[in-house]
Amino acid sequence: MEIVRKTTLLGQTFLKNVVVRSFHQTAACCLPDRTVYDNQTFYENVRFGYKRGKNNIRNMDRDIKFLQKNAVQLLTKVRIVDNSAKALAPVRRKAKVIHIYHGKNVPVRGCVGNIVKITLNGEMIKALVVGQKAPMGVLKARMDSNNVILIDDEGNPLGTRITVPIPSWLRGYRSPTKHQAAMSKVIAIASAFV
Amino acid sequence: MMNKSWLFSLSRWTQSLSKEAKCARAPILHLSKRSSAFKAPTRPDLKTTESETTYAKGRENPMLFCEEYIPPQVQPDWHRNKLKYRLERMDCLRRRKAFNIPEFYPGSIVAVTVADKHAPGKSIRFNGRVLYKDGFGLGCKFALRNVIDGEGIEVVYHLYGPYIQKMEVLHLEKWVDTDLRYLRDADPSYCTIDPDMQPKALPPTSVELELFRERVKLNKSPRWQFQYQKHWPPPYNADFQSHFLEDELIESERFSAMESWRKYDICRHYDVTEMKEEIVAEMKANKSRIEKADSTLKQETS
Repeated sequence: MEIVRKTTLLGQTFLKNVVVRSFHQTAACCLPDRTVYDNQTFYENVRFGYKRGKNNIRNMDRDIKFLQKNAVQLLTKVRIVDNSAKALAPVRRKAKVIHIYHGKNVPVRGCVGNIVKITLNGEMIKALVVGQKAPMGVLKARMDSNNVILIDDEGNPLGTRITVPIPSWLRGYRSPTKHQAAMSKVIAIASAFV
Repeated sequence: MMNKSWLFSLSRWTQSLSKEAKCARAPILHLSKRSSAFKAPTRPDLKTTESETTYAKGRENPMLFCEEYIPPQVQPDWHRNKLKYRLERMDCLRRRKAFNIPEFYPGSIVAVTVADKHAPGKSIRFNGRVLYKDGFGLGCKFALRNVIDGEGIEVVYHLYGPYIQKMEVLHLEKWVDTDLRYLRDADPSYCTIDPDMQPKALPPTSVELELFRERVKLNKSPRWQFQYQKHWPPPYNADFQSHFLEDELIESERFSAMESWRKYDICRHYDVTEMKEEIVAEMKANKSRIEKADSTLKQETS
């Protein structure tokens, strides 16, 4: 890799300030973190092992139960995957979650299958969460964005198509709200299941 | 007098206990006498020509050795239940005898059909690129990633899961890295796979696989999933420095210089060579054990 040093000054000043930490400092100070990308690489039958720990990202199973229910909270940016008129209109700001319904014990957190209220172009609309970014464990699809479709007060979808695949287990999902009948309408307009 | 009465009551209590136990046992005996139309299904047995096949350098016979047979590394003073490891390896072999689990690596393209009670055909198929394969024994998991309709989708499966009906390797590929989760931050073209993709011809096991050594350019984004420039060892197949400015390059260089001692820290290495020989010998013994147990089961049932 070649570095083109435009300003020699910057590089010199920076290299002088390099702090070399000793072993115990690196071991103790750099505690394992969730954000660590732990890449296993192999060097001729020797691999750098990963350590089992509470915060190791490779052993996230115990955290998934917590993560999957807390996927959506207040002010999370959501993507609208719908062909309704409001969704196709030019967007001034990204849609955000303002409120989450039927969370009795945990009123500010939600996940797939929950109904939320979002702001879209200065308007408050109800929406149904259809995909989430947080991991949901084995056999449940994890999306790259928090997906949402717009619904009316009775739970019926405003659009006529969902543009991205939705999780298959939603077909057997029984929502705790009164909108169970409307859920079948949502599933009827889905393009694909994962 | 008091003592005797106490003993008497105790003996009565024990008698009543034994009566209850007899009563509880009775319906079970009754059930066994009852005739039913149920017949236990025969255990499927895959026919393999192991004597004919030869395996190249980087490839292993899955009946003898697999990466998931190696127990995870822990602190040396921790307790490890070696019996549990051995039993789990035996169960892995049991599953492999009944169901063909193909050989694949992180980076290859795999299609999986899974039992799904909500689907109209009672099964659902998903294909994608393998991001990682991790875990010990029956808990081994692998993740598939595919981009459908511009939406990145990841699904995790158990390798030995009973819900898996069919596993197909569409394209066998082996990358240098074993964890490709940086593809989330790369161009989606790497993971866009046609759901109706036709399988490519697999190379025979006697041919050595070439490693995929190209570099994947990551997106120019300040918010990646992980900060690759600040972690060691850095991914090989990911070119995360292409969009860096000078300061960031110096910073990442400084980090790699600071953490390079880890390469020589033998305490953190996990040497598998000795363990591998033990496992191969154990799995050979397991094979004969399973055959013995099956033959005795057949005799009992017949």
